[in-house]
This record gives sequence, structure tokens and C-alpha cells, in this order.
Amino acid sequence: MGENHMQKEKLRGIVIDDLFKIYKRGKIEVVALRGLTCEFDRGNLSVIMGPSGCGKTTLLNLIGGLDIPSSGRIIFENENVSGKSEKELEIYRKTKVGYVFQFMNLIPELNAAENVGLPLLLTNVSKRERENRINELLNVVGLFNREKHMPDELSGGEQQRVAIAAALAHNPDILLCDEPTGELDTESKYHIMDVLRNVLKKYPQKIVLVVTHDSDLRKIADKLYFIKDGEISFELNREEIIEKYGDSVEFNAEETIASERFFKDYKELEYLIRDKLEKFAKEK
Amino acid sequence: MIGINLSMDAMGYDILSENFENQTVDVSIRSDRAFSGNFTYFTSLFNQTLTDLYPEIQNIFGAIKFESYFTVYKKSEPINWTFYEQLDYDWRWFNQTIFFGIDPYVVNQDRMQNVIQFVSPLGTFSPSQNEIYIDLQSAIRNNITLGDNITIGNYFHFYYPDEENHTYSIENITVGGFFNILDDFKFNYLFPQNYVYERENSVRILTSENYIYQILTNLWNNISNFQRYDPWQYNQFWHVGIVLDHTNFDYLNPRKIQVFYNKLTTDIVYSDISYNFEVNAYALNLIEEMEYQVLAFKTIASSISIPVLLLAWVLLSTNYHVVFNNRRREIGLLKTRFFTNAKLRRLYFSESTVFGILGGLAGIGFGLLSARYIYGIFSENTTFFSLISLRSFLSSALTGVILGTVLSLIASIKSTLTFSKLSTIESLQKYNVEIQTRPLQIRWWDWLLLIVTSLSIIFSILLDPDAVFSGPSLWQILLLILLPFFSVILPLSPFILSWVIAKFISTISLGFFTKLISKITRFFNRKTDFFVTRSITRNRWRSTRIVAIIAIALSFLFIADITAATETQHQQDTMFAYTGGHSAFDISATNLTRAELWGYSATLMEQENLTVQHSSILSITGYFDLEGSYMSGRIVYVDPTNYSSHVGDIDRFLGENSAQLLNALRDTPNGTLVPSNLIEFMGLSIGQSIFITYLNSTNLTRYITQELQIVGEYQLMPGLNPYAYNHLICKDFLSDLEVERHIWLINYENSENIHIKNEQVIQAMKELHTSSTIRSIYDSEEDELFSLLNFLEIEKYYFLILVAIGIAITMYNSIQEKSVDFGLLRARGVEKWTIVKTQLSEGLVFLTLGAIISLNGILSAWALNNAIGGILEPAVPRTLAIPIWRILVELGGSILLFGIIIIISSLFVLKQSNVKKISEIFRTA
Repeated sequence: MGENHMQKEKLRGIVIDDLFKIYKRGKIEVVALRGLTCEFDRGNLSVIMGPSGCGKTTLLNLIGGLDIPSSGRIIFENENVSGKSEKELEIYRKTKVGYVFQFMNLIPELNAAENVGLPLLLTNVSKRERENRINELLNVVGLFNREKHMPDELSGGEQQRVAIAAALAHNPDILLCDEPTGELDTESKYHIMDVLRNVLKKYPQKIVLVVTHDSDLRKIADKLYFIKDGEISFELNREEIIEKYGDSVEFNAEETIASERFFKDYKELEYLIRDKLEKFAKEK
Repeated sequence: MIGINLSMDAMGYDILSENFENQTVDVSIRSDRAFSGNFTYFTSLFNQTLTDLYPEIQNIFGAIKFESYFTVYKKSEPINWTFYEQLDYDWRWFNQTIFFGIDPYVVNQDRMQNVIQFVSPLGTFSPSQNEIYIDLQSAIRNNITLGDNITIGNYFHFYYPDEENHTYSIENITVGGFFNILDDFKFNYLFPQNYVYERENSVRILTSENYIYQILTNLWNNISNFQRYDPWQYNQFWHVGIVLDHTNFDYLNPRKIQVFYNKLTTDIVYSDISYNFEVNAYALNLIEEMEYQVLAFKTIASSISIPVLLLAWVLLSTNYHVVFNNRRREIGLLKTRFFTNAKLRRLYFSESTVFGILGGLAGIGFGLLSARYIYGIFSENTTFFSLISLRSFLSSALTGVILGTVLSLIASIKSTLTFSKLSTIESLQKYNVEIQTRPLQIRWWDWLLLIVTSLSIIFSILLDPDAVFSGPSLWQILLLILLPFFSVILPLSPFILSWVIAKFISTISLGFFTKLISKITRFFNRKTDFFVTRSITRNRWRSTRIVAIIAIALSFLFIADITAATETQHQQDTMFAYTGGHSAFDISATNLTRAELWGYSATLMEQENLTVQHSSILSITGYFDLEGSYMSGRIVYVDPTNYSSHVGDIDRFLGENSAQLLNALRDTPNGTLVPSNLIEFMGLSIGQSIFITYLNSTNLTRYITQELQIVGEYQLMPGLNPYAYNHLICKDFLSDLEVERHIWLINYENSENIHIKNEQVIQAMKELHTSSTIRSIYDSEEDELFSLLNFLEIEKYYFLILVAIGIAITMYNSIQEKSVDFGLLRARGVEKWTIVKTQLSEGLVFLTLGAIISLNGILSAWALNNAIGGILEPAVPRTLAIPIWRILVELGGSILLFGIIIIISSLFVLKQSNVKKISEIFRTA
């Protein structure tokens, strides 16, 4: 029992308990989260989906310590994040959380390596350690050869990959991604999805939370949460996702891209044949 | 500008009204003595013609001035002319007397209070028939007391038909009172157009115009048989003076007053009174002089404000760019809603017009306050606001609003044109990106500005006015041709140059600039130096502007300080050249001896409440005859002990060897210095004795013979008539020798900024019962200069405040632009203070760069002061004074002020990067 309990505690990640967040916009109160309760385990990539304004980003901001809930608890490592002071939140963000936003993730005047290394620089990590870490992370996101490139010399997908590396620079336990593929083309999106899976392969103790509108991201999800009106509407584990959507067990970007290309070519061929046949029929 | 306009208008009002109130007479009309008739008739002619036309006329009065060189006085007995007739006449036996006849109304007016003082009976002039008032010193000198019955004798020498002496006496004249003329200059307004040189030891007699008319009628009847007379012996003029009520004069509209006076003058000249008049309306000269003065001040004050306007333009255009850029999305949306480029231009130009008008209106309040302040520098009058008429206020306000609108429109042109023609996609996609990485390009006009401004500074530094005029050469001709052009450019050069250098540094010298900033940043913030460096270089446009405005402000500070110090130094040098570092006064007093002048100085000293040394250094006294010759001249007393070789008036006589000559004079009893032409003419030699005779002024009948030993010779200045300037420079002369002119030094314990004021002089004159004039050398020029330097001082601080506001706005924009970056850093756990420090470092780098570039202000100040020297060509050379400590203190203060602004702006990061704000930023993004 002891060993099981320890195992469970170890894997247990973030516990959200009856979380409320109410914004005041002038005289109007907007309830963003309405008693939301759920858990995000370590080693899991959880995807949170839902319509606009349902409270997805709010939840992410609260977990990341960027905002403070109106009530309820966010428990991580036996500590209530929502009860922390500003200074404690700062330390929490510095040590536990990595953030990837939809856009503007990079500081334009710093190159890829500097963007990744900036948080380390500001937290007094030695130069050698910093360089090792930057190399390691750029490897993880597949951009080892682009370290000297400035943000405006990188594609949108590459920028987001650098952003993931930067978010992981200080080795956080939690990686929070807010619409990480929101502004990307399909191929770039699949690469990001691949990178996110790779992150967990490389660092299996981390918790990866992805907030998105894009249903494709369910393909890499260990758990899928749907939020509606500030509450969890339903949640699916990997098996349930495969069962419900018919996805493959393992997502592979290259395979997916190749199959999509094939599918696209096939479709085009199909249309072509159909056109030809119709034309032939008409001629007949 | 509103402040300058209003304050200058008020100053003009103040000067004009004050001068008008001190005007002893508004219009004087002079006719020569050929006029027949009496005063009643004479004045009534004008009364009939003018009074109905001009209700402003308070009084039309008659005045007559009669000057006679050869007058003697006797108490209660007739003059025995035998003595005078037996000898060849000698004018030194006589007094010069000036008879003034005037309507008592005029001299009893309030406005005459500081012009003439009636000692006894106190306060008023009210002569009865056959009564005269005499100036107090002359009365003392001639032993005349109140109520005395005196005889005044006039001695005439006629050249034609035969040289003949003639005498005429007026007996039984009652002395009704005494007076002192406190301001000769203004008193003479009542009796203008003198032909006779007025000696300071003249006796002045004041009586009613009717009594003087009676005396003169008798006189003319007595001597009318003589066909020729010496016009220098006596002359007389009829005067009619007009005194006006100034209550309803609009001093803010001098043109109106000018028109009024012109009309009055014309009406007099072309009236039916057919005599030969000369009409003089002093007001016209006064208005012209005042207008010139106010215009000069206004021009200088406005030209000093040009850098402020330039700075305002830089700030406005920067802000317009930032504001329009922040509205890119709005532009895109408007374009999707069918807004054309032209429509957008109209919209934004309308906005900048409204901002300009609002700014101009807001400037009215500030302008009023600053006008009060600026006015305070020039005037002690506390009722400033009552001096501003509605007309002046409205015209100044309108000027301010128009200026604000034009400035706003000009500043918005570039941004409006750039942003209005953005395509819809461009404006929607590149939202808030371009401003963060805005590049900067060097254009051909930047090179032109760099070359022209640098050349104007270098040219002015190299300018040697003496060389320019010393002889023809290609270089000098080139200098002469370029002088006017560079003189115009020079005042703006340091500011334009600061701007261009900032631009060049941040555009061309990228490598150098980046390294420089890295080094500076490392000094402020070791950890994130590269971040700060890149942040500065990515938006070179903004960085250039903020560096440039700091540089402009600090260079202005340098220029203001150095110019003020150089000007003050130059004034001191000039004063020193005249006074040897003392305060010098040039005194002319009526009938005072040298000993009495000591009393005069003592009285002044008493008023200053200072225990000081004072020395009489130069007194021009009476005349001498050189025995054994026909040569005569004047005796100049000097005090070789307290002599300073820098006293201009002595140097004029003694030249370069003055110290050596005065040493010789000091060591030899009865020594004298003799002009070289006299030595040559008379065959004299150094060491030889000469004998002179002179008249003791306390006893007119006594000649004194004095032996003097020649101890040195001096050269007269070229151009002076050696016979007219036969001055013997002596010492040890009788202290009761009458003094005509006296240059007198005061050794203040602390000689800086102590001036004897006009009121004090008047007070001293009242106490000493004398009519005299005194002036401190360069007094009035100093006052005006002082005011302008003060103005420069205010302008300097005004400028610094404006720049501080500019820095705050630009830093605020910079922080706003980077708020996403800050949010990102905060989301990654970077501490607030670390971010504040990066922003602070950025500001401090701007400050350091600005301070470095501003050093061009020192060169510019050097150039400017050299050019001023070149244009004004002062007798005493201008030497550049750099008040290092003052500059350092003010520079420190300015940097501290800017630093505080930067710190406050940086602290804004704290607010911008707090937890809730970060989530809001990303939500908005």
C-alpha cells in the first residue's frame, strides 16, 4: 500500500478543487470558471478544449500563477498555488512553470539561443550550464542548427518550437501551452505536436497542459478535457479518445504529414478521375 | 510664446507709462526772441487754438531760459562796476547764470518730485512779484540767505562797433527760496534747445515767467542800441510747454498715442499762429525708443525660445508616430469600412488640429503664469495682471493657439501621410511590430545639416575679427562672405548638430554604437547588458530621439551657462578696464569743491550701510595760466596713492606708462605731468619747474601762483586738439578748489552686484543741498544685460522641464511597446526588479549618450561667444569663461532630474508587469 501510495503521490500532479474566477468589467461580473474541479497527472499531456470564452485560458493562467482565483484551490506538490503571495508566485513560476503562448513568445531582439537562455541568465545559472541546457533543449525541439537565428528569421512553427525550448529552459514541472498551434499551418502544427510528445518522452515527470480550439491536438492527448461555461463538461482518457475518434495510438508527425499528403493527392486524383469519367460520359 | 508676448507687452506698458508719468512736459514749442509780446499773449494763442480740440490738455504754460556768462551778485547794495571796467575783462571773475522763468503750476506738479526739490520754503514754488529762487549751493557760495535783497549785475562785452564793455544791474530782487535740481536732464525738458554749454558751477535762478519777462524787457531796452553781441555770452528763448493728462492713454497701443501726438504737433505747426516755431513732442521719441527696446527684448526672448519650439516639434512628432502606430489596427478596420487614404488623412489632420488648438488653449494659462514670472525679471511692479489689456491678451492667446495648431499640424504631417497610406492587410498584420524595430535612414539632408552646422561652429571658433579687417586675403574675404550666413545658422547649430550626431551614431556606426552601449550598459547592469543593448538598437528611431532631446537640453545648458559667464566676465573686464576692479562713479556736481564731494560720497556710503574705502581719483577742476606764455588749460587732480592704472579716463591721458608716471608724481612734492605737445612747444624738460596761476574759487578776486615740477610727460590720444586739452595732472591741490567733473572710486568690501541706485543719489543730493548728476559707469547697460541673462536662466530651466516631460513620454511609450516582452519575462519567472533594472539601464544609457553628445554645446558656446565678439567688436576683448563648477552642479542636477524621471518611468514597469496585468496583456494580444 505504501509503495502504491508513494507511486500515486509521485504521479499525482495538479489538483484543481472547486475553482471560481469572476472578472469584474465595470459593473458587470463575468464568471469565467464556475467551481471547476479536475486533476492533471505527471507524465500526461492533457488537452483542454472548449468554445471561446469557456474559461480555458483563465484556467491556464491560474495554474501558471499569472492570475489569482476568486475562490477554490490549485494544489501542486501539496501546496495551494492560489494561496501564494506575489513573491511566492514569482518563485513558483520561476521553478515550476513553463509557458508557451499563441504568439509573441520570443523577444525580438534576442536570437534563438538567447531567447532560450534568458531565464537561465536571469536566475544566475553558470555560463557552461546555460550553454549545455540551451543545446539540449534546441535538440529536443529539433532546432539545434538554428541557434543564432533571430525570431524574424524563423518560421512561425520554428518560433513556437524555440518558445517551447525557452519555456523548458529552467526545467519546470509544468508546461502550459495556450493555443500553441493557433497561428500555424498544418505541417508546422504537426511538428509542434511532435515536439510536445517528445517533451514528455524526454521528461516523463512533467505535466503538459495544452489549451486549444484545434481538435487535431486530441491526437497527442493522454487526457482530453472539455470545458463549457466554466465547468468540465466531460473528460476522456487515451483509450476513450481512440475509441471515440478512431485515432491511432501513437501520433507521428512525419507519418501524419505523409498520410495527409497522400490523402490529399488521392483526393485530387479521385477528383481528376471523376472529372475525366464525367467528361467521358458526356462525350459518349 | 504666449508668456513672452504677454510679459513683453506688459513690460512695454510699464516702461511707457512710467516714462510718461515722469515726463516733465509733453510738448514744447520754442520761438526765438524775435517774438514780440508777453507770455500771457504767447500762451493764450495756443490756448485758443488747442484747448477745445484736445481735452487732454491740462496746462499750457510759458517758460523762458536766459543764460548769461557774466553775472555778479551783491547783497543789499548796488554793484560797483569800476573794478571790472578798470581791468581787461576776465570771465573767471564772473558766474555763469541761467535764469529760468516758468509757471509755478508746472514745477509744483507731482511728476516733478524727483526732478526739482524746493528746500525753503519747503515743497513748493510760489514766487511773488520781484522774487526769485536760487539754487542752494550757489546761495551758500555767495552767502545769500532767505529774504535777502540782492542785486544781479550783467556784464556785456560788445565787439562792434567798437570793443566795448557794458553793464546792467537789476536791483531789489528778493530771494524767496532755494532749490536743488535733482535731475538736470529732465529739468531741461522744460527749456530745451540750449546753445550755451552749461557749466556745472553755474548759478541757477528760478522765477515766474512774468518776472523774467520783465527783467529781460528792461535788459533788451538797455542794450538794444548795440548792433552786435556775442551770441555765446547770452541767449534767450521763449518756450511754451503743454502738459497733458495721461490717464486715458492706452499704453498697450503706442501707435494710437503716436498718432495722437503727431496730430497735436501738426495742429500746432500748421496753426494760424504765424511765428517760427520749433515743436518737439518728447513722447514720439519715447515711444520709438521704447518700441525698439521692447522689440529687441521680444526678439531676443523669442529667438531664445526657438530651441524650445524645435524640441516641442521633436516630442510631438515622436508622439504622433507612436500614437498612430498604436492605431494601426483601427486604420485597417477603417479601411475595411471603405475609408480612403484621403479620408484618413483628413481625419488625422483634423485630430492634430484639435490637439493643437487644445494645447494652445491650455498654453494660455501656463503662458499667463510664465508671463508674470518673466515680467518679474524686468520689473518690480506687482500689479502685472492689471497691465494686460484684453486686446493684448487676445492677440497673445491667438498667437499661442495658432502656433500650437501649426506646430501640431507640422509635427503630424509625416506620421499622418505614412499611416494613412498603409494597406489594409499591412495595418492589420503588422500591428505593433514595426515600431519596435523601426529602422532609421540617413538622408542627404542629414549630411547637409551635419556639414553646415559643423562648419558654422568651426568657422566661428576660427573667426578672428581683427584678422578679418587687417588686410585683404582670400581667406579673409571668404570669412567676410560667410559671416552673415553662419551667424544666422550658428544659434541653431548645437541643437541641430545634437540631433544629427545622435542619428549618425545610431545609424552608421552600428558596430561602434553597439559596443559603446554594451560597455555603458555593463556598467549599469552586468547581467542583462545584451538585452538592454538590443532593446536600444532595435528601435533606433525612438532611441535617437530620446538621446537627441537629452543632448539638446544639456547642450543648451552648456551654452546658457557659458554665454552668461562669458558675458558677465566681459562686463567685469570692461568695468575693470575703467575702474581697476572698483566701482566707479562719474559725478558732476554744482558748485561743490573736492572736499565737499567727500561729504557727498560719505552720504552715499552711509546709505549703502557699508564701511568702505573710497578714493577720489580724478577731478577736473578750474583753469590755469602758464606764466611766461599765453598757454592756458585745466588742472586735473589725481590721487596717485589710490590710483589704478585701469581707470579709463586717466589712461586716456597717460597711456601705457601710467603706473610709472604716477609713481613719479607720488614721490615728488608739487609734481605735475605735462602733455608732450606742451613740452615740445614750450621747450620744457623733465625736472624743470613751471609756474601757473589760477583763481581760488572761494575768493573770486584772488589769484594764486603755484610752482610745479615736471615729473613726466604724457601723450594725448590721437585726434585730440593739444591746445584744447592742455591738462596738467597734479596732486596736492587745495581741497576747496571747485570741481567740475569728478571720477570717483569706491572700494566695496564685496564689490559684486552692489549698485548705487538713482533714488539713493537723489536722496544724497537732497541731503547735501546740491544740484548734480551722478552715474555709475555702464549702469543701465548692465541692468538690461542682467535681465537678459536672467531670462536665459529661466529659459534654461523651462527647457529642462520640457525635456524631462519628453523623456517621461518617450520612456512611457517604450515601456508600453515592450509590455508584452515584460509579460513574457515575468511569465518565465523573471523578477520584477530585474525587469525594472533593464529598463532603468536603458534610460541611463540614453542619458549617458545624450550627455556625451551634448558636449558639442561647449564648442558651440565657444563659437557663439567668439561670433558675438566678432560682430560687436568690443573695446575690451571677450574671453571665454567656462563656469566649470556651475556647469557640473547644473549638469548633475539635470542628470539627476532626468534620472528621477527615468526611474519613475521604469517603476511604471512594476505596474505593467504585475501578475494580473500580464494575463491581461496576453488576453488583449
